[in-house]
Amino acid sequence: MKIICSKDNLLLGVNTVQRAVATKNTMPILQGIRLRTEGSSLWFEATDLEIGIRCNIPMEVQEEGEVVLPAKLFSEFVRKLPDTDIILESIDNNVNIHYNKSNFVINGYDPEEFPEITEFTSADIIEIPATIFKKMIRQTIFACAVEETRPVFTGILVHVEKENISLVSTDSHRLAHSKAMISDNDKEFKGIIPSKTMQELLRLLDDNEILTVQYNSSKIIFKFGSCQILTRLIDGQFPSYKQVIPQSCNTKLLLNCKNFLDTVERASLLSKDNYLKINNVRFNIEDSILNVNQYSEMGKISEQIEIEQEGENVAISFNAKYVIDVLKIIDTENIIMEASGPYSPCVFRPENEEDYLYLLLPLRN
Amino acid sequence: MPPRIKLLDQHCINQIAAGEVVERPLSVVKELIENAIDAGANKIEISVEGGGQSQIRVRDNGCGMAPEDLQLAVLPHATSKIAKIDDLNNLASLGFRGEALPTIAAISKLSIVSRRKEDAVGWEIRVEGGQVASFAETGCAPGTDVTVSDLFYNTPARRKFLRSANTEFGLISDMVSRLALANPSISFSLRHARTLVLNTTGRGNLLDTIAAVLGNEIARKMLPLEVEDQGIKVAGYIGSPEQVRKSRNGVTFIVNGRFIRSQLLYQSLKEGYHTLIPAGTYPYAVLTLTMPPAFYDVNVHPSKLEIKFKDEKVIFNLVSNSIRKTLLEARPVRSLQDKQTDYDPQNFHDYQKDQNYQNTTKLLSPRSRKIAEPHKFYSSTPTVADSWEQLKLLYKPAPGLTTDKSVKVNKELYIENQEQNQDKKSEQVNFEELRALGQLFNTYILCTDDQDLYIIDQHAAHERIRYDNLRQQLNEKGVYSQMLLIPETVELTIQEEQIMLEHFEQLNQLGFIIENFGERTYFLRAVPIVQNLPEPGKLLIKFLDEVLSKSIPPTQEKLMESWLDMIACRSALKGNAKLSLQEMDQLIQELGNRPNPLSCPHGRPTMINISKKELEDKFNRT
Repeated sequence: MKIICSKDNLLLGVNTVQRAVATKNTMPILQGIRLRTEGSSLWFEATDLEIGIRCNIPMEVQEEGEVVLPAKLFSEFVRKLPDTDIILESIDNNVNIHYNKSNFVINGYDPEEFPEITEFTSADIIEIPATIFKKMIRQTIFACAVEETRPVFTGILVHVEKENISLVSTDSHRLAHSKAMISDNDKEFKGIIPSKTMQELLRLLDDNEILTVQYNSSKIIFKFGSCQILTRLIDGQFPSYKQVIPQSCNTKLLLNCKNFLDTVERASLLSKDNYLKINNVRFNIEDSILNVNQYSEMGKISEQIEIEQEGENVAISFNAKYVIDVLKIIDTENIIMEASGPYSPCVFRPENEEDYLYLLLPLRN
Repeated sequence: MPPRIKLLDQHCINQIAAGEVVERPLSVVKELIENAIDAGANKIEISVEGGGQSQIRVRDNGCGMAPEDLQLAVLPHATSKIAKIDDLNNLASLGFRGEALPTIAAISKLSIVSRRKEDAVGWEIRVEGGQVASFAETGCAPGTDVTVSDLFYNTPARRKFLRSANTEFGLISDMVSRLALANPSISFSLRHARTLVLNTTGRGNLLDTIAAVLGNEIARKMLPLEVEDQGIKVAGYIGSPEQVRKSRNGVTFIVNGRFIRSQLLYQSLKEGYHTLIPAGTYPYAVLTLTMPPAFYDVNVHPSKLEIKFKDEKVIFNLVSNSIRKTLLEARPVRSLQDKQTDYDPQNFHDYQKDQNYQNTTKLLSPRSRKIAEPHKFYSSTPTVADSWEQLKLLYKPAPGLTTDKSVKVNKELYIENQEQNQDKKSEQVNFEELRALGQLFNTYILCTDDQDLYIIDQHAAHERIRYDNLRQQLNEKGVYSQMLLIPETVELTIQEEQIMLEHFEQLNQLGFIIENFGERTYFLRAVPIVQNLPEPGKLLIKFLDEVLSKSIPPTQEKLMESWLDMIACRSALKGNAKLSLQEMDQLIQELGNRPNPLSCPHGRPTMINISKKELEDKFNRT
């Protein structure tokens, strides 16, 4: 293999695939990035067997071939290269990198051992505009569970029914649900995608691209621009989210998002360093006033916000982090909060936006 | 043709029954000693040969037997101890089944020589394999002398399963030690192959007996304990938390003079030492429980080692609370001298005796005598009068003294006792007097009260402070529980389900909201949050297990403690952190404010001390 390229091109390829490089060293080969020529372009590939990222970058190919280079060393070296033409030339499994009048040899792995990130052909193809999909991921990804105890909760459910697409995530304390319309689609799909994959999509997708989704029963490929992300779907039954969303409420409030967020953040400062690390915040809603009266061994806070209220008064406690999470991703000026007593699930929605809702379960004391 | 059913002859029955009562030589020794105790002996001599299989001889100076009784004694179910079944409820003797002698007789060559004090001569009966071989007049000292030879000679199956002579003798000496502890007013001597292994004074002082059995080092550090509640009296000595062992061998429980093994009592002991000693270790303890015979049942197993209490909870709480109270009041600080030979000549002498197993009569050094004063729980400030009452019990006036004199003696003793109590207080750490001298390795704080030098482990000390703060906060604010959107399903076993239902209310208070989902499947609707609880379902099962494994269910507080432990440890000051003198002083004072400052929540010590005297000794200044 012999190629000539710029530092920027190399860096782009390495940065794109790097997050898929395995962090555990059970299989050393997975700590490498594969470089393989195809026509007058170079494929960068990395995988930890859960997620695989490929990225194709055009460059001058003088000799076909492939190598697998240790990701950490290669990427750090590329970052430190001067801005000049760079020649990569393979000698068996190793690569000689020429720049200016200098040389750097990296000992590589045997490319035969690298697992094939198999592309599969499937008739099932859905196209989604990147802007819509990115917004939906941003609105749901934070509610995924971090612990691996119940795997279905560590991913986002993507549910496509003809022209409707839903993304749902939950860690069983809360649930985020984002909906959108995609035109010209007659396919149906339901699968749980690991949140790590979704995180990568969020990072790599450009706003004006079109995302092509190809899937079978166990795998899914996202294609956009010069990149492909291939991932395994999470096995298991996602809870039937439609049933848990309450259809009515006893109290309906309209709050200013920013003021509300500031209040909750200030109140949670008091419980941040408490011994038990219970970050709770209690709202007392009484006659169009939302009261926060919080105390801890560090001090106390008492705040009142004027709100618009319909229905009965209520006092309700939440984990403050969960409230802050949703207020941070809502773009509208006001937020609607629907409660039905202190122990029933509470719904948050952006004002005038039917496509998003956040369901939060209160704390009992 | 299938074999016909037929009745076994008596000889055969005896041999089978013998297997249950006499499992190994140890059982013979135990039965014979118990008989001697029941006969009112105050001196019992045991000699064992060949691990007990060749010969066991138990000689006492008790009441002895009349010739006609001697002949009856070897018949099954012949006993002088009860006459009808109702007597069992008021049983004060150790034996009662009338099984011991005939079963031993069935599987060995038995000889009993016995003489009552009022008789001029004694009688000897010889029994071999259950058959009386001879019965004749003989000359002997008052009391009974039982010799068991060739044990299991006619039951080869049993013989085959005997361990080595040393192992068997180890078991025997353990049993004799415990029986000696149970009967401090009886002098026990145990010989193996003519070597004197154990000898107790029989003067009625439990601490003397402990010193003879467990050694002076252990006995010196033991704390006296005495408490009485609801007709149950608990008395004895418990070991200092610094002296622990991995097994329960250092623990002896005695109920109404009977040595017993009881899971309940082991648990209550551990509960009393909770967080004071490392997990998986046991302290030393010799505790005597006295209660009306109707409060328990020993007729659970022929060996009478197990016991069933009528009201387990009362006993559990009484024992664990009194242990805790004694430990917290005494606050023994670990000294640096652990496991070192004391150069006190008196002790050194004892130590040598120990080495030679020749500890005939162990005299305790004056220092240990002081600690040995029974430490009473005064419900209110003690007045001289009621202390006198207690003192009278403790110091029986010597016969011949007039009442006046005895009162005088008692008064003096009382004053002495008071002084000793004050002395004892000064042995505790006075945190207010402590001032920090500096830090060692950025990990240990050196401080002094101008009498002793103390070394504090800053991590352990801070952990203790954090832990107590957390606990207080939890008590004030209560438990929060996070409701679950998608309930967690838990499948319970029948046993778990029963316990869950029994503790439903308690679980609710802990923050578990549980709902039945048909059969034994349950929905967890809400789970407690203390930091991030990873797996609520497992937590519930863990709780149920905890309840299952203990006869007394853990309180809400107890369960929370395990989480608190974890948080406290993580957030506490680590070793290798530099502190200023002010910070150290602050830490010492805060530690002093804790009810239990001397160990961290995991049971490790927070401080050790080096006394001025120890330093002087080291530098040969005295």
